[in-house]
Amino acid sequence: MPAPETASPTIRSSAINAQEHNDSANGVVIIGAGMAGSRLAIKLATVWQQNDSNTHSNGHHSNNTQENKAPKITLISKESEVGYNRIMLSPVLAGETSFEDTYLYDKGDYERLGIHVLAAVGVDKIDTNNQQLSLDNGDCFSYGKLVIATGSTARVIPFPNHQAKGVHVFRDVADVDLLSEYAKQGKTGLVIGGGVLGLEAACALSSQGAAMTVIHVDDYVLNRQLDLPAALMLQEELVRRGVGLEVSAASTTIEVNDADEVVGLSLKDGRTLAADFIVMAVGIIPNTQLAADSGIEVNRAIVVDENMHTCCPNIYAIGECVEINDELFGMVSSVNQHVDSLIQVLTHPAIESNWSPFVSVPLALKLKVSGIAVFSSGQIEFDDEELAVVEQIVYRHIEDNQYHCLFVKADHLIGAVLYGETGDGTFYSKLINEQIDISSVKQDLIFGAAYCQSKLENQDSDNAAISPVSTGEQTAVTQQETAALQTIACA
Amino acid sequence: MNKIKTLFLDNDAHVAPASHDSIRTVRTTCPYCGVGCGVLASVDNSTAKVTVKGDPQHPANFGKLCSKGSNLAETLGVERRLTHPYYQDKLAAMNGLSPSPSLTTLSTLVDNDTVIKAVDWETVLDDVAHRLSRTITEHGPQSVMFYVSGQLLTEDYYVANKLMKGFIGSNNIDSNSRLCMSSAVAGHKRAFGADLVPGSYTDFEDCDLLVLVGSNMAWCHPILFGRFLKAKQENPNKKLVVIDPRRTDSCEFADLHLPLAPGTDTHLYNGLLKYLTDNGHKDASYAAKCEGLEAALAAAEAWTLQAVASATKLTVEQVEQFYQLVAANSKTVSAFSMGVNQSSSGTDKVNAIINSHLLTGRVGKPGAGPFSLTGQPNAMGGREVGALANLLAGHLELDNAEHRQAVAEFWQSPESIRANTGIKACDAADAILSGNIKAIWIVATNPVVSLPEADKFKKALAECDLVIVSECSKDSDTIRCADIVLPAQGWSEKSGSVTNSERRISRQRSLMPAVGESKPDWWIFAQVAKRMGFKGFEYNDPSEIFLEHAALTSYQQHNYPRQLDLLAEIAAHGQPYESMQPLQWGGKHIDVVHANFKHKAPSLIAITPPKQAGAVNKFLSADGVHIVPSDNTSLPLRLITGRLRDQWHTMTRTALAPKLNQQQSVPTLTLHPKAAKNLGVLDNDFVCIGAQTDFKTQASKVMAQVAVSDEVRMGDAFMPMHWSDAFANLARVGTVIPTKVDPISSQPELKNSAIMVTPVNITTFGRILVHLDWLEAVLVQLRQLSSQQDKAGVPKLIWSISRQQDSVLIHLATGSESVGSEWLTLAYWQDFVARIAKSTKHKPMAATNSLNSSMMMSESDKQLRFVVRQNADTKNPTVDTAKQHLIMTIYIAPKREQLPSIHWLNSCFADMSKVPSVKWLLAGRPASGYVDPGRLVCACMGVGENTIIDAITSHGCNDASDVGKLCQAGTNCGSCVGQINELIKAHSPIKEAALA
Repeated sequence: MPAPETASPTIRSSAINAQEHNDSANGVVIIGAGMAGSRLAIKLATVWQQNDSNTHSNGHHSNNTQENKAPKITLISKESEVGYNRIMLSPVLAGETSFEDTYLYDKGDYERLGIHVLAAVGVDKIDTNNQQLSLDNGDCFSYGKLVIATGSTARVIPFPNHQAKGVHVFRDVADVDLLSEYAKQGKTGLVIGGGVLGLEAACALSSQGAAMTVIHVDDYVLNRQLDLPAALMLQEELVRRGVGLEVSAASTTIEVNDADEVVGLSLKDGRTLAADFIVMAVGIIPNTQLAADSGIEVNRAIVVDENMHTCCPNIYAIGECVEINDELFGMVSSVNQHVDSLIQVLTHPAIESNWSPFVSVPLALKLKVSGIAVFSSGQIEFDDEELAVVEQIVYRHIEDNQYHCLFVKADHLIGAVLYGETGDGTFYSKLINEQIDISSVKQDLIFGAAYCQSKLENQDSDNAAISPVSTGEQTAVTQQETAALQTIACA
Repeated sequence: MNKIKTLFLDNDAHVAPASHDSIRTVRTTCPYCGVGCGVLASVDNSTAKVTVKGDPQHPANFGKLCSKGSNLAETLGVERRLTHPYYQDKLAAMNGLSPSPSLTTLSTLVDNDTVIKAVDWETVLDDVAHRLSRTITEHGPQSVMFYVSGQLLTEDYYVANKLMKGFIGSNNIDSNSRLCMSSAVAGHKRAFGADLVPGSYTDFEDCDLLVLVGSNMAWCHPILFGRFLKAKQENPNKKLVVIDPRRTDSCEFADLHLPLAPGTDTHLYNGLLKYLTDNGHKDASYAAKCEGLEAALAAAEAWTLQAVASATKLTVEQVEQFYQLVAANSKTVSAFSMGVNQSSSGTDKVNAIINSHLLTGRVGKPGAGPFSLTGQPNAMGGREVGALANLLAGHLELDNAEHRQAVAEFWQSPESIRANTGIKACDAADAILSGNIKAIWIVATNPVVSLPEADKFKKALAECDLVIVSECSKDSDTIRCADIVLPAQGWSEKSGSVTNSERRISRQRSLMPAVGESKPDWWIFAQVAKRMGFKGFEYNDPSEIFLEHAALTSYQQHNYPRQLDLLAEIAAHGQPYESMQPLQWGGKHIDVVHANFKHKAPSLIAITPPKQAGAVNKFLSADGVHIVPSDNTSLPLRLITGRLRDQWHTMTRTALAPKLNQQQSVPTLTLHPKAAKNLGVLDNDFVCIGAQTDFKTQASKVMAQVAVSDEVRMGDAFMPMHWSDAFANLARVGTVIPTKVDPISSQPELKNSAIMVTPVNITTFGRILVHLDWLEAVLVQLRQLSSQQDKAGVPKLIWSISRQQDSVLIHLATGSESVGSEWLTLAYWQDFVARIAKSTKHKPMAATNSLNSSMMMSESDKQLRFVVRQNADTKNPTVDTAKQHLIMTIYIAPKREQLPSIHWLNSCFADMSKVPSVKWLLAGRPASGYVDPGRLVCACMGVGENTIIDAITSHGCNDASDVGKLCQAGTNCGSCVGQINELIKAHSPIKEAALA
């Protein structure tokens, strides 16, 4: 998708001079300033700055400051907008949030922390042997450590006429601007894909004036994140909000007029639905081209180990563009884990015992549609064999459309779906992720943290040390972001 | 001048001075047991709210009231009252498919119901009179029967008895006193020649030895027991002996408990007669004035200590210890109650006890005498007016032609009074089924619950041409069997007099206006009598009836002298009826051998005890050893029935008082630990109880939960007699008791019946709390569900209900897999609620307001919880839980322990403002900071078990009075002190330290 013309007002590529280029030979270069790249830059710089000030205040090695000086951090962003929270684009599209509010960090933070930001600049090639980058503005650029955080691109299914005018994805701020126009004009739109992003887009556009219908190929929406009862409640709610829904509906052809403009969508069952525009929300494709072209091992995504190393020395990758043990990532919490793991590696390169390798944990979902609270975490799909050993505990508040379903296996919570009221989502996520034995509170588990917390904490103090749910920065982030990057799951 | 002053004061004596103008306080009498405690009832004129306390001036209780009496005000709710006369399609009603009438106005009844049809008094009285007259014309006077009750006032009793014996011309009037006191009546008459209790309550304070025979006085007559205990506390030399197969709460205070084999009291007392004689304790001069001494001693001769020990299954030491105590204490009171009377040899038991007093001259003396503790508030009044099939009136004799003639004269009866004994309670079913009785009028009693072979009686009512029931409560099983239902006034409305166990006549006064169109029972009888064309029923007021009754007791005293001579007593008393203060006829003591005794000389009765008194059971020897039958899943046991501490009769009144339902809220069968082990059941498991002997309604069965306790003997089992179809299904214990009556008193055996007990496998338990407004509709649903049975004849649903402070608790259980799995579906309960909400006949409160329902379910754990709320405000529906009413909470689980305790939940029915989340309701408790007070132990002061345990463990209380000081438990009637002592034993750290 083309980037918008206007550049960020405060971050300009012209601000970077040659001297700084030379410094980068020892420095850390991050390609991609999305949620993974920008977070890495800020957090890494913060750690180094703290170490720096500690060293200085201790007064040691004061004759040798040059060697101890923290490496330079360079952040290269293809988009002109650096470090915004993509997750928050749905509320922006719905007109509930301004784009300015989606920045993860204050723009001044980059300057204060001495991070070089190259915005609206692409990387053409990586010379892995010489540790150099070729930029699309013709510059060359050295790196000491390179981090690839190129993220992913919205997937487009190549239906006939998929390139027609009026076919869109919903991925970045430019898409938001374009789609908002349709809504303002009260156009009729179809969203292909009833995943998180598709539903968020449909609701946002509907609330802005568009007549929206979601086309979903599976039996019910969010079928990877929700169980059937929750999905049915969600579908009812969507219909109440005027969002049309076609489930078990396979799209076949995008219908166009003579001017190659979208006029509708044909389905396998023979029907054709009229539409002024179509949004494809059918998942993401990791951006691996640069890595592959540079000889870095790529499977479905860039292959890294648990310490975020690619196959090449000094080259790391994080975020939605990587795979670890065949697992792809679309949720912000795993991306944050990537960042945390990599920071340990970069700040303690020689002390492997300090590293904290990435561990895959079940993920939580939250839907960002105003007034619809949906949460899911852990495993919620089961085959028949699994179903036989998994216990389901259900809570339902019928007239108020609340539904909770907990999946328990061998005294552990392994999955949770919450609909309508999601206050205990964080609590359940923690139980799932930390694999806490819930046998002592099983009878009360469905009633939430208020009924279980103190008992579990007593159990913890007996068994020693499981951190309480809410402390420190980890939690602050969790509460802000626990949720979906828009996501692999929509296909 | 003094005289005038006295009269003036007396005239207001029934209205106690009130501190505030708007409060009116009335002196009246408690309607429960035979102690007959005085009650001060205060009515707030502006709110009509009633409060009660004990009357400090009443000589029975001096201001004290027991748990039941203290909670009287809680039982006055109009929602359980019958308000209008109606006709009923009794067969439809007996199928349980129609609710009991919850009408408040005549029109709702007529419009909405087809099973019952309202009628006005004029029409129904004409109709009753006409149908009774026609029955008499077609089938003779012997085809009509009245079955009346010790709940009636003396005036009611008198009119009923007069109508039947003097005018209809039949003696077919019997009272539920037949089940209660008739052995005592027969025993008194055999021994003293008249139905006399020779002593006074003061004897309980004056005696040195109190022997309780077949009486759990701590529970059943707690106020009188309290008087003895107080005296014993002041003088610890006073002794208490309890003779009872069960270790009841009374034993807690006893110096000696004799857990004898059921039915062996006569053996024990024959042995005592011999022992007292052999050891020189005979009062020769007194005994010389008695008859039958030689024969009685001859009959007792065989009963050596060893023989008694062998028969009673007591040790020789126990027996001897008892005999020594009696021998050593000339001031002995032997108080007996249902354990003696309700026996197939009840009259012999009574006389065996009285024999020991006649032999030793311990009759009618301060602190000495045999003392019959009557069960009902006015059993004595009924005996005075002669409202039993074998009595006449005014203590005259039915089998004496001159007496009959005198009464007929007095009444100006159209014909002479019949000589033959009328149909008695336990013969009524057969008399109806054989076609001899065509019309029966049942008044103020619930025989479908209380009679042995209760299902046979129910069947008889179904077949009877005309069944009339006069009642005040609509929750009576017997009402469902009526063709015509007549609403009678209940306590607080009606006015008249009652006689207590010490022959003391007290006034019951009305303090509230009659509910609906209800009428006094005397009025109903008198109206029917007039309409049948009889003269002599033109009463305007109960005082006229009382004076007529008093006049009859005095009638022809010179020709037929009787101890009962009320006209003389009243004249001496000098008070008008309205302000009449408690009056003990016959004086404080009646010394039966002296000159003032007007009948024949007292008699010792020679008694030959049955050889195997205890062996009622073909599988069970008297000592409880089982001969295991071939089907060894069942266990043969001997059933003893009795009371709970806080319930009365069939609970139509006490079950309305929330606190009185806390001590025990489900039907239970108490088994000895060994019996439970043999049966393979644990505490709280369900069992099915069936009759072992073959009587016609053998198919009847009872479901109960096991309470394992060594307070019953091995081989015995105990079940409360209170449960009816109104409060539980399959819990009428009378249905499995065969009809075996005492040959003299015709009182049925209710304490020694052969039963077979079989474990019932329950797979799913439920607990429902429901708002009172919805109860009726819920009960209709439950009755429909419980009428279904599985292939093996096991009911698909076992339920019982228990009124709480702000809701009604329903216990559910099923052993049916299909029902259990239905209960685990949301759809089932949604449908359940929908059917109730739709019920047009009994529309729950504002059913049009929208309902909110929430559920929690774990299929693998087989648990479901379902909560229904309703918006408090119709116009502004809300999702705010705190602004809703709680309608119903339903909890289903495979184990009872998984169901939440109800204490906090119950409070939510009154106030949801402190319930922030429906999850609290589903969880059954607040998220934090809540301590459950536990099972209610003290029903008077409302103190729970956990509170008492806390007083013991945290505050170091190690006796009951310390506990009482701290938390008030046990400080009113004291009937829970035994339980508090048990808790101290179990929880006191001092005790534990001592054990360690």
